[in-house]
Amino acid sequence: MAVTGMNFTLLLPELILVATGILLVLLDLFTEQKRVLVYAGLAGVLASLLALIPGFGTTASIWADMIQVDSLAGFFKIVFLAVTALALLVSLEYVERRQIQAGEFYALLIFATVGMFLMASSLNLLVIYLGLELVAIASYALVGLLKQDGRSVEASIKYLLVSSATSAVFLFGISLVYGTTGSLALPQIAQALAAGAASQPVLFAGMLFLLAGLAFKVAAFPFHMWAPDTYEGSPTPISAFLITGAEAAGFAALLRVFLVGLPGLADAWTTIFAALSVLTMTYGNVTAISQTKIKRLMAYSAIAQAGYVLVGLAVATGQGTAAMLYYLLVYAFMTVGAFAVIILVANSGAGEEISDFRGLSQRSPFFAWALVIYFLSLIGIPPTAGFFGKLNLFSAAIAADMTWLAVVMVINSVISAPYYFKVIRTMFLEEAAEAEPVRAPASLTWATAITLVVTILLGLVPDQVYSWVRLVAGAL
Amino acid sequence: MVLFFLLGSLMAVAGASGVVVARKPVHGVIGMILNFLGLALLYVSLQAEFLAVVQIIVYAGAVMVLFLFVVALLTAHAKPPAMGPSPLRGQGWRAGLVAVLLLTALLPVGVVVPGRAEPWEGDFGGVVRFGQELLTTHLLAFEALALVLMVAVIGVVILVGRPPQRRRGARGEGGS
Repeated sequence: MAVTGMNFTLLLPELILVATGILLVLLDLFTEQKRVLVYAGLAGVLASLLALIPGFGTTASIWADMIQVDSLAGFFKIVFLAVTALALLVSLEYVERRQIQAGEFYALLIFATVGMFLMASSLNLLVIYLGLELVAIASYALVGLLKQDGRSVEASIKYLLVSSATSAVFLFGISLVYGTTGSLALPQIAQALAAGAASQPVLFAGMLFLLAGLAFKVAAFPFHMWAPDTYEGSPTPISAFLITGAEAAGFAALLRVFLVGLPGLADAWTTIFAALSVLTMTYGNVTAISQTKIKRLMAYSAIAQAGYVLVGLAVATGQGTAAMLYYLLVYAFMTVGAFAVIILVANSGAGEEISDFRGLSQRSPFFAWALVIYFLSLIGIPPTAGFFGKLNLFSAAIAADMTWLAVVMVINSVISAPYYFKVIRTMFLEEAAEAEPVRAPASLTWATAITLVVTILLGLVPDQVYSWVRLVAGAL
Repeated sequence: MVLFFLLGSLMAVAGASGVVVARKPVHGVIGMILNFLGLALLYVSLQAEFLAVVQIIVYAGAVMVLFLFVVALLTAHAKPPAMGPSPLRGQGWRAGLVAVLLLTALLPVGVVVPGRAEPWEGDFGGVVRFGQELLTTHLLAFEALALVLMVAVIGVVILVGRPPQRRRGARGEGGS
């Protein structure tokens, strides 16, 4: 008996990442030059990106149907690799300054990426769960790496407790779904649903558990309480990585589980997602207004943005999915970019309060203007990428006869403007305590430049990217 | 079989509550052993005999011995923390309310839906079938699990271990 579909070529991106992670741990033992590790990690990410090419445009179910290679998986893998590469870049200086063990730091980052790959590229609940757990376990360690900082340790423990509890909820959901449908494979579950299993209350309970488990991972409203503390306490590059990468992976799993596996229960879960979406964006935005620490502000802003993305699941159409994907892509770049600026300010000796951004426009005009563009994009002001991201979600909601949801989105965008503008005002209108220019390391400049170009480019030529994303969403 | 199930689930739940409630680590470990034995019983009632045996040998046996070693080495002289967790206001009745709601939602489900009555045929749950499943259909998941465990080991080492240049007498604070 052999494994059906033992295809190493299509699994190569994952294999390369695993090898890179192991290599980083080993390389760490032999070199004092920790920068080498970042370059090795970037090389691994690039190699993995190139290894995606053979699988481009093909749809295949490999390794006994455990791994699904399709354009949705390809899309998410590109997003994850971009986020990982940027996280490696912005970590370079940070890791040296904070004396974090570099080898393990970068290796865990890469391993977490493998977990995200598994979450996005499987139609099997078991593998999705394993991917989720891989991301989570790597993140617990990464979040708690600032061992001298009590907040980091607290963040790690909170994340560990909440996340393992929610993993249990998710597992319970899997067991209930498996119990009623007799399969862990999402297409088979959908078949069982179509054959009349949908009326079973057990399956409904299972769906609720799956929904709650994944909603925790994307920090949607009633399940968000771990997020602000975790994102505030963890090392800043890790906050950026979790907010963008891990959250996108959570949405990838949500898309797979609900659109592929449970379309038979769509009436129920679209209503739930619509409610979650409204609550999440309103809560995130209203709470963000009163924050004085930049990382907490970004955390609540991340909760609000998750609310916007949930609109795509609430409408549950191809257009909605495409809008979600586009927004996640845009969101990854603008958020990592904003965090690059936060890291720059923190590295320059100032803290992580919003007031520490005073006079940044004089101390470092390039980074100040970059942050302005990221924030305008987060609010959704044209011609930035964020505007088109929101516009797509907005029109998807209207096309699905959910105009009220679109209206709530617009109101929320207006609510969100003041707290972003507060930071901008601090940067431009208030005088800095010290006027000397901020020294920007090349790695941060590169990360900012790349994210800036992508944020502007996706705003100027959104159509090409959006038509690609439409294709990807159609393949789901 | 129903008896098996009731006994097993009672043991598992009692053991799990014991782990949560126990103030002394050793008591927690004993609760966990009870929990593992209960799970093994549940596996037997599901006809997964091999899994039940492995559960007892590997978990109740080997893993628990490891746990006991860790407990003996690290906390033999440590007193249980003087302060318990401080509950939030209204935590008790809110959690109770949610639990009751959840149970009322789930209980009729468990009673109404008929379970699978007829036993599995063939070598279901035997070593051969188990091994074949593990190394064919579930090979990739199996390997992914190995990766998860390796990452967990790296994470523990990095959190608990001290960097070599700053070796001090004090114990690291990351002992979880």
